[in-house]
Amino acid sequence: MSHDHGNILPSYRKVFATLCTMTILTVAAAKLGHFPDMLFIPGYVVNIVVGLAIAVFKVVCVMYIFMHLKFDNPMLRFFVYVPVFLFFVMSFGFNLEFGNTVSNNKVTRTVYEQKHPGEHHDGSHGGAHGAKH
Amino acid sequence: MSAALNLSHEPVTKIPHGKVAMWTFLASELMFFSGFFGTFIVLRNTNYDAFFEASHHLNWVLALVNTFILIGSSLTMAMAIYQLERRQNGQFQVYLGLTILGAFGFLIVKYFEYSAKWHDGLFPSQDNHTLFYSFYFLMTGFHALHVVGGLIPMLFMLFKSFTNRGYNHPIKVETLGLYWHFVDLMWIFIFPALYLIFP
Repeated sequence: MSHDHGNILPSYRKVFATLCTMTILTVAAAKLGHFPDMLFIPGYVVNIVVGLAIAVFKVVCVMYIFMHLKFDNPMLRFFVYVPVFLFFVMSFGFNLEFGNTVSNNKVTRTVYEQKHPGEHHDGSHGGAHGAKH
Repeated sequence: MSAALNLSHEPVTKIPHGKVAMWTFLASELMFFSGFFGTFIVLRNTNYDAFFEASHHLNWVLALVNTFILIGSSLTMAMAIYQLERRQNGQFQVYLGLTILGAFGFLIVKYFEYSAKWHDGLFPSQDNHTLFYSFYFLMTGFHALHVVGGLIPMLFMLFKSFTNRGYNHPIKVETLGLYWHFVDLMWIFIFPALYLIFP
């Protein structure tokens, strides 16, 4: 903190509480059923988008408050925005093959449910399958 | 505390050189992880069956615990910087110590997670899980290496703070804090991408 910006401790506590809440929401969005289908977008794709949106929100909170981007010289923000933009383009922008992903998912889910009768399509028995180890 | 910081040698930006250097380093780190995420998503879309099956062997509960540990250590790191800037050396030591404990806690949980995979024979070399577990070990392994990379200077700073002169370099601690928060940021993406993204 190279600048004096008053008592920042309440902001830290709020960000911490927000991050914890958002983490729980991320898990809930992924594990507790699926969103209803919206127009041409299946519900489980909405789950992924919601999970990603929550992650982005958490990142913004950390960068602006914990990393002091909000208080530092605005010049520094442009220094940060460019690589962050490139990160999203390289990580997600070129890969949003929703059509292929959706069709692949549908086939996979059908095959999985045939191989594992009685299990839900998320691979669980109604609980957290991923926590079996 | 701003009065105690002499930034006259950075007349234009008023940003300490170390912070600019750290942001530059973090930008390169971001590109480094971009390659992992981008490749992971492309291969996930084209090998969905294998990724789908393999992902269900991951323990998302342990990963969730690690997420909370990293978030908590981010908070304690920010508090440590805050206290050092106000010359509260004792409080600084407490919060930096808690951050170090968080880092060790993360690595211990990761050890148990890797041990379970090792015990279950889930390696990148296993045919059915090769691709997914290559990414799993690569991404989480590099992230764990970054945790170790942050842990070493934190231990040094804590050690120095116990000497007679203390550790009165808030800019250096803040610069390390930037790195530590970056480690937290990467985990925020790795956690859903590897453990939760599969419906």
